Amino acid sequence: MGRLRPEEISSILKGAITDYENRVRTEEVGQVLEVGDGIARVHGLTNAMYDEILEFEDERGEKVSGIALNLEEDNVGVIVAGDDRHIREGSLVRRTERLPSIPVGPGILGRVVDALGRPMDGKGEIESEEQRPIEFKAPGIIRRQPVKQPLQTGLKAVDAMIPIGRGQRELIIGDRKTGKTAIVIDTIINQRDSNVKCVYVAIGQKDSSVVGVMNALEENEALDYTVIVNASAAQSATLQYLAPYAGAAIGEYFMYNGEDALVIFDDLSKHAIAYRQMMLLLRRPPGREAYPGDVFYLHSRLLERAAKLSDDAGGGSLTALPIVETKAGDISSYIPTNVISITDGQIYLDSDLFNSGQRPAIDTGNSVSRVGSSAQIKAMKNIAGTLRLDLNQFRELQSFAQFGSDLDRATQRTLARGERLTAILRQSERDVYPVEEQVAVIFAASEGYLDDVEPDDVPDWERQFRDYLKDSHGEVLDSLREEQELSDDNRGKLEEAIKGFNENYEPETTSLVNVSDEDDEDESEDGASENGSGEES
Amino acid sequence: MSAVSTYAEALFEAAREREELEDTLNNLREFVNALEENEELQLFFFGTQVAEREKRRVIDQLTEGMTDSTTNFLKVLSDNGRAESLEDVVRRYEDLVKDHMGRVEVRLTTAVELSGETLNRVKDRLGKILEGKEVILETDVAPDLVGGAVFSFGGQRVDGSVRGQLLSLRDSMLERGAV
Repeated sequence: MGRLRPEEISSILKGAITDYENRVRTEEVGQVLEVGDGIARVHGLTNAMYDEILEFEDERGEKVSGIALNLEEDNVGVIVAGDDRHIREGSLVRRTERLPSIPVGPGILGRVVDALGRPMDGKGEIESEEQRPIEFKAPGIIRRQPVKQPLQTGLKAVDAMIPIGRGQRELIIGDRKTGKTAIVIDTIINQRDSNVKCVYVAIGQKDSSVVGVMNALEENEALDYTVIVNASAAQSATLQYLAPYAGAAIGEYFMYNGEDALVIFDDLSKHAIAYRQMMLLLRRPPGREAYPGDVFYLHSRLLERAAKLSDDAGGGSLTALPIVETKAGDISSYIPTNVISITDGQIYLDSDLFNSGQRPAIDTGNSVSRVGSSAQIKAMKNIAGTLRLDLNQFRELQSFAQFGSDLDRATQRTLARGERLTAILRQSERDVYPVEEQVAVIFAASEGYLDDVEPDDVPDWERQFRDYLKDSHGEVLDSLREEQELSDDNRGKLEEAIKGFNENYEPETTSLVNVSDEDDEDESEDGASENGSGEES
Repeated sequence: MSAVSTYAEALFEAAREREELEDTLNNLREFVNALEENEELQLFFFGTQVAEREKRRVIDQLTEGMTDSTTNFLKVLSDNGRAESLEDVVRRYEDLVKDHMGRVEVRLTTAVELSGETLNRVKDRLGKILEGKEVILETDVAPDLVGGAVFSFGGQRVDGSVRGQLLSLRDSMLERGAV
């Protein structure tokens, strides 16, 4: 319900009075045959169209909307998007001749809405001039161009090893409590200065988790350019099914206006489950794992809407980061394989890594980005190559080294380097930083300037080094940022800075008490972010 | 084609040959109503506890005086284990019969009771609008319409009531949300 607009009332009333005599409403109606579990079968409505919104008039005289999904010979199968408890057999259903749509535009930024664009945050009506249909055809090949511009996540492990480009679809996959949501929240926070509009779609989650996300974004001043579409577990399967399409529609508005947008689907496994529920209740035949036959199309048509538009089409982009939850690391079950094959790569999070303290727990061996280095700045490209190589060698040797036999010096050196590199890829939550600083830090590690630092001291080294760079060698960062290249000049300056820093570097000497204190703090922070249950403590 | 329409069409053809379309329809309606009201009958008809022979015998008794088509149809339905779609089939059959007879049922809802004369006038007008169809008028009184009338026929609803106008006035004044 909107509010009354005084200036419009008189004109409406006048119109009503002038054509009072011939104002007869003709509508197409049907009757409810049966209703329950969010599904209704309706008799009549022979002209109803697929995906059309139908309006139920329930017992209390209130209007509840539904969407026609099954057009059968003598009845229509409808999914009800709202409270179906007051709809009765024989209740009136009318056609609206409208498709489901959602308000879009700059006015929706900073808001929390449901899958139909109704505000949920108590901040009043959403101001938007435009409506976009929730289902929209993805742009075709003529209107696209290859992904070439990076979307910086602010996470070293991702930006260096699995770069994401604007317009790319990168799957984030892993077991429960491996930090999947943490990665996307950090990515949103890192868009602070990049003018990328973000849409976070929560599907089938606890409302409390969504509040957590909202608060995290608000604290980091990221809510102003973000929309949260919330279809929580308490809402109907219909709304959970619609939510990702609604999120994509909000993102598309920015893309088609030549801007960059990022949309996150958290998560698509629950989306598939909601869809399965509806389809089984609508008596569509079940297939593998009881999912309906079109569950692949369900996700492929959604993710195809992410695109980098050609310059003629405005050059906007919509990046999609779908999340899929696996059970016990099984990425070969139905939904994960589907989404892996649709997306342009995946970030695989491993619970063993997570528990061993490697966070973000990205399994760099199993994670790929099919767009690859075209989504990286040159400087990062230069150093990422050696980083990947060194890490691969390290992983090979690591299993060897476990036999504990004597190792030659070269092997020991590779192992030591690998440990530092692994340590440098750690990053605590909400601690995203710009790509030029990432380049400086990774450069130092892969060039061996950290070989004398104990692996446990690496985070401390990294923190002090970044402060030192910003304070005393701001010009190196500036030129890296501007040239985006590790030219000989930059390389020289950077090496000099690192050497200068290493001469005076001393690990912060803390008493044992302090160390454990700090560790505890770190861990509880990490735990709280992803799960709130603090299971590590 | 769904099972429901297959049965409905078969019944329609059979009843047409025997020229008992309408009687069959009335009989079946009667049976469906009886089913709705009588729990025992439901248990008997939808249940699987009664032996088939027994079931047929009871159906014979229940439908005594009804048309052959009705009796046979109910038997076939129960023999083929399709008893639960009886209502759907009857509904579809009803549509087929009405279509065949060129008959339109119009439900007229008014705020006050209409006089016989007015009703006849309405019927005449409707007959002219719905060319070539026989109009069966069912009337209804609903004081909350305030004034005017609402016509419903075959999936269409023409709302010329004061209530309907007030409602649409309210809708246009309140800028309604997305859905």
